[in-house]
Amino acid sequence: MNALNQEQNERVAQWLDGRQTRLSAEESAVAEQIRNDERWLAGELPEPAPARVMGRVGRQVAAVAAPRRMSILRLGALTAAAAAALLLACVSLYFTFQPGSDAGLVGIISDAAHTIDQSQANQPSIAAQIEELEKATARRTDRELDELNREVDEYDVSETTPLPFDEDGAG
Amino acid sequence: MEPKRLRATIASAQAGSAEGYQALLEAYGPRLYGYFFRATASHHDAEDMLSELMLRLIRQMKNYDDRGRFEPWLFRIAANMVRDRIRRMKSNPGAVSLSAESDSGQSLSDQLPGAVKVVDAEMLAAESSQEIGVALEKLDVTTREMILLRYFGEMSFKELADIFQCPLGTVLARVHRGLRTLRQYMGGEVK
Repeated sequence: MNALNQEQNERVAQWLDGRQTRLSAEESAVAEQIRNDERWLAGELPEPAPARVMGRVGRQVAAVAAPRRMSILRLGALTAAAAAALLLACVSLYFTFQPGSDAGLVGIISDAAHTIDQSQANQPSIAAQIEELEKATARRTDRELDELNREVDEYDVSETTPLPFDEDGAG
Repeated sequence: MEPKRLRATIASAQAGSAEGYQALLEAYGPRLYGYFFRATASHHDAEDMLSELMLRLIRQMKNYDDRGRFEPWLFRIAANMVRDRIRRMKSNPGAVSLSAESDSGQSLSDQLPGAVKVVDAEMLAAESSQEIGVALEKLDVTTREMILLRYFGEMSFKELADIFQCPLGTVLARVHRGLRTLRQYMGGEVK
């Protein structure tokens, strides 16, 4: 410790920190000594950081800082997707579990099985409908062809409008 | 770094820009490295700690409230890292680092058979300033830390009192005594 008491040391510290403080001759001497010593030390302490060290640390910073920004964006996108999926699931569940219906997983499975059975049972009628549709299409095509033939048979060339070159015989 | 540019750089880093962090590294990296080197007496540890500090900075930058006191904030993190390291070394004194230098100035990895000796002008220049490193070792840990933070972190006595949680007068007395010890050891002028 120096020759100053605690209060005097505080005043010297405040003065060295740049605060307006009146110092006694004894305090001024200590303050001046500390200033000189710090000036001397400033010539001894500096240790130049090797350029390769700064380069290595710089590359690490670039590698860590850049992907971090991307990962925040990715996290945002994932959160949005998860929220949308959750919302969809909630809506589906709301419509699935109507009051009075068979609730629970068993109910869902039995409903699904029932739908599949009905779909299989309907298969023959669907085939019949396709056949009927094909027949109807054929009948319609036949009718249209008959109509066309009739028009061709009834076509009279003399009733046609004469072309311009037929009137004056010019070609 | 001038205050206006520093504010812009901090804002850029807080927005997640790698360029912002690079600018902070360029501005403060050399001084931080010097601080870590003087505190640990090891180039390898200084580089590791500088890397770790930059990673911490990337993680903690969003919590920084810019009121024009970036430098003390930065060096406060650095000081905590040095203290953590000292605590770890005290709790595990038997651990030997491959990069820890012996009295001859060589690390254990340098002395292993087949080790490639790289002549590095920068390293040799750094070793020439070992004398002050040895003198710093003569000080107690707290006094050494105070002196290093005052020089490298440009901290005021008031800020040191806050960090070390001791009265302002005590900080001044310790720094004064520490400086006197260094000068005596180095054979400098002591009145």
